[in-house]
Amino acid sequence: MTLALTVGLSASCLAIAMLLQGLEMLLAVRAKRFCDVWSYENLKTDLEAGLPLPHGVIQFIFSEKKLIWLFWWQIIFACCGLLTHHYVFFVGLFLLHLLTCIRFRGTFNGGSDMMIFVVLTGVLISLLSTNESGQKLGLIYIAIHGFYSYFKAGLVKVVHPDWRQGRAISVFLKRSLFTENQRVADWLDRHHDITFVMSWVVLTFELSIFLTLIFPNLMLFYFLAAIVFHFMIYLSFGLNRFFWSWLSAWPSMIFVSQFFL
Amino acid sequence: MEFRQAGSQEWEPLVWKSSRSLFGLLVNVDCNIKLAQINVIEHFARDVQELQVGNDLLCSQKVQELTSFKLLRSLIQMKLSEYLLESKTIQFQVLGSNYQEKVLIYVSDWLSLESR
Repeated sequence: MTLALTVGLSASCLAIAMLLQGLEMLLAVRAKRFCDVWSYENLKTDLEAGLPLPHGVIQFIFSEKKLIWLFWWQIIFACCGLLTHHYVFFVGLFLLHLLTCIRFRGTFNGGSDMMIFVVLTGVLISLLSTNESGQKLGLIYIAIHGFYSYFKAGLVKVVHPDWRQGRAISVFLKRSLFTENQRVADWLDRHHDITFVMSWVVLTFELSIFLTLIFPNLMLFYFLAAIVFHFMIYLSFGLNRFFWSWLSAWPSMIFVSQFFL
Repeated sequence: MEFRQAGSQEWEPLVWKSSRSLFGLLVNVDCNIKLAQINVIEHFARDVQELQVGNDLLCSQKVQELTSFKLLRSLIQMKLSEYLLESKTIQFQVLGSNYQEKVLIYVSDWLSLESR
């Protein structure tokens, strides 16, 4: 994969992820059950204490009515970013994403928000750089976070006996929002050998991710495995944002693994 | 997360359920709102545990000043409006759980569902 193609793919995947998130948020803020909880009234103490801005400005930016505009701008910038790959739109998306994270205190999909920030930062470094090494630096930044995110997730799991013994998957499935997963969890409880294998497949995939830097030919296999992995997480827990935000990190991870070919 | 009405000794669980939608991989509004609601409970539990560090007794007023408490109170009011309750005064408790056991993290004062 060439440098230009990787930067373009990363920017496109990121723009798609942010377009979908913008659409979701736009639909969410129209729901009464959403604004009743995340009302400006409930959040203003934190916002006014944490932001060095006049209270009137904070209210202007973060009131419920203005939120709709925030997400309209996100959708517009994401569409323009997708079509042009111009850095101005990604600067705009960065600022909008920052405002969204401040507004919701990180309660909205913390992990995927973090990865969006990582990819936004890396893409901006690449788009703003005039030389090749600067562009590569942006991609390396994304790739390091991408690789480490899988490895760290594996590390957190493997120290837990329930993961090593294969009990954790059914426990998590029982806590899922999807009630039909309860039946799957019950079935898995009766077939412990299957959950044991599943647990170790997940652990091996996550913990061995850095092997792709030693054996870059494995990268395609890992990429396909990651797509299946994130899709299964979406099916199990409804975490669609993780799918798109991690997908936008993969072009950089593939590019960086080619350094070692 | 559990609640009980005034005059009742029974704790009832508050449950969050959702279903998969055809285009959920692209846009998954209902599920993401519910996940964010669950996140509010987890944030509150973390805030309470931080308040407890170095303090034997948890000051009710300090807890109620937490932004995460305000979010949680609104969430409970919104959530319980789906239930047909006999009493408008409730108490809630937040339970943490690891893989095997449940731990009580916080029991609220009695709250009126009508006060905002």
